[in-house]
Amino acid sequence: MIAFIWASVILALIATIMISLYGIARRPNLVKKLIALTIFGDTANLLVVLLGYRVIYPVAPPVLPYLSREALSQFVETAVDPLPQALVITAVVIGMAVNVLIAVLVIQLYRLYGTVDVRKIGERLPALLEGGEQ
Amino acid sequence: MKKLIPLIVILLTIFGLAHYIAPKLPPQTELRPLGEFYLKNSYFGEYSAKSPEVVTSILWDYRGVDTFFETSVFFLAIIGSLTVFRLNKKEERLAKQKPKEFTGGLTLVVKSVTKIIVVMILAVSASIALHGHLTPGGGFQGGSALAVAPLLIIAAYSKYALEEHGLDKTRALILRSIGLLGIALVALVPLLTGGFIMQNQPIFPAEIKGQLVSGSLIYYNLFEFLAVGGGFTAVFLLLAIPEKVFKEILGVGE
Amino acid sequence: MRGVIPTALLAFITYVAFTGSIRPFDLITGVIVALGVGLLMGKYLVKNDAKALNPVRWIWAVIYLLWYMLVAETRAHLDVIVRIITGNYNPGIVRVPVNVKTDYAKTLVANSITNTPGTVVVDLDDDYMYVNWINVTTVDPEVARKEICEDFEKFARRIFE
Repeated sequence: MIAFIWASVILALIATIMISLYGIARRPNLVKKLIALTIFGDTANLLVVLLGYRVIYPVAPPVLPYLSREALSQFVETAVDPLPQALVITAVVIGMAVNVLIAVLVIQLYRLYGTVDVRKIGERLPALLEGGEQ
Repeated sequence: MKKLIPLIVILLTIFGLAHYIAPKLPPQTELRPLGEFYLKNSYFGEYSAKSPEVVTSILWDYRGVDTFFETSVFFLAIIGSLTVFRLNKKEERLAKQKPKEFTGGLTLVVKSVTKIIVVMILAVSASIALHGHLTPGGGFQGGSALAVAPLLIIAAYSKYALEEHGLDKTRALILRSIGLLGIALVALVPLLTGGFIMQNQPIFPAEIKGQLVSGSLIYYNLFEFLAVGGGFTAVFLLLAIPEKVFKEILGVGE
Repeated sequence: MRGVIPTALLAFITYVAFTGSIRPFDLITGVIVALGVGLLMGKYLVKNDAKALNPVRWIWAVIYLLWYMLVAETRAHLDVIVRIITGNYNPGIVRVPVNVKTDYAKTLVANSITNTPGTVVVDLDDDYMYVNWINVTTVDPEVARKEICEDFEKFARRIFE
């Protein structure tokens, strides 16, 4: 049963990644593309965190509960793998910064073109480049 | 009803596949050797970072250079947003000028609650950052929490209130620069004493007057806190410039 | 330097409560952070130091908290439960005068009204609150004030004025 739940969680995350990829590729609205991109990034991070998880019962976060050598062996028995978490922590903040950058670009595009629909932006771009009316 | 069909199909596929692959997945009950090394060494052991928080000790000690360059990616992303919104002196004054008919913000209730909440957010974010080497948390998380405070003020009062009381884009950028400079300095200090870059133990003292500060981890967390908080505040201030003013600056009339 | 001490106290209590331990490290960093936050935010939060640190007001605040949670909330809940079961309600928005002066007192009254079930403050201007009330018995502002928020105002005046 536990193996089944574990497999369902992983497959659900993979399905979420596929749906968000569909969103990035197929939605014409730039804001919706950004939302799909954040979903994609967060799901990927969650998958990486799950790589470090241990499917055992008393499972502990990777923080030493007591500063004594006696507790260490028991701690190593139960603690999850800290390395994926450490990698994800930076990835989350970088993801947030990149999302802010993309949001800023989308706002700027909206100000310049009056729309966030990529198809309309594509239509208006040649006119702008030729120095025509805005 | 039409939307339910894809949902049911997806759910059925997931559960069917899960039933099929569940016995074939490797049992994830053992630690990888590298993870075990970090768990055993983070406080005790020969390669110790003197921190009971294993994630932070990986973040700023064992894999410090990774984090160092990821911080520079963060730096570049913020610089990118600032470049897109680049304003010259005159335009900046225009963006800071309060419109005449502006009465300001949400109702009194929201404003007075915001004042109290902002104080509490500042205290909580500082707690997250300063206890990064003891409990889950650290500079990134604390900095993100810190950036919520100016965001709340922008929402409840307005960006003008923030700028009138001294926190404008330049100051937020100065705060961020202090943070980044501090990170770079703390990373370079070990070179002076013959260590390698971003070395933690035994160059930085693990305890100050009996209080565990885990060597350089607390300094990194503190400076990262300032850098992330300041960077996000600057971007939020730019995002809060009203549409009308920005269209005027860009010369894009309706 | 107005308001530094009360604000620093608030920040310090939040810091220690959030940290959840009182080792010397927590206390030292807590004091530093609290002083910084107090110096930054103090003048916006507090207009009068003596008033903010007056213990009598704090005792009233604790009494109000107990009274509000035990008496006022229970009464309002029972009232709404009865109305849900019997279906005897007549909702509407009434205008209620605000009789307290300071910002915090107004906030306390408005939040107290909103937090009890059956009444929600939907807007607030200089003289009036607009309250969405589950059972409008009167549209006269003064009478409505007596029914909705007289007790709250009494306490708010003791705490903040």
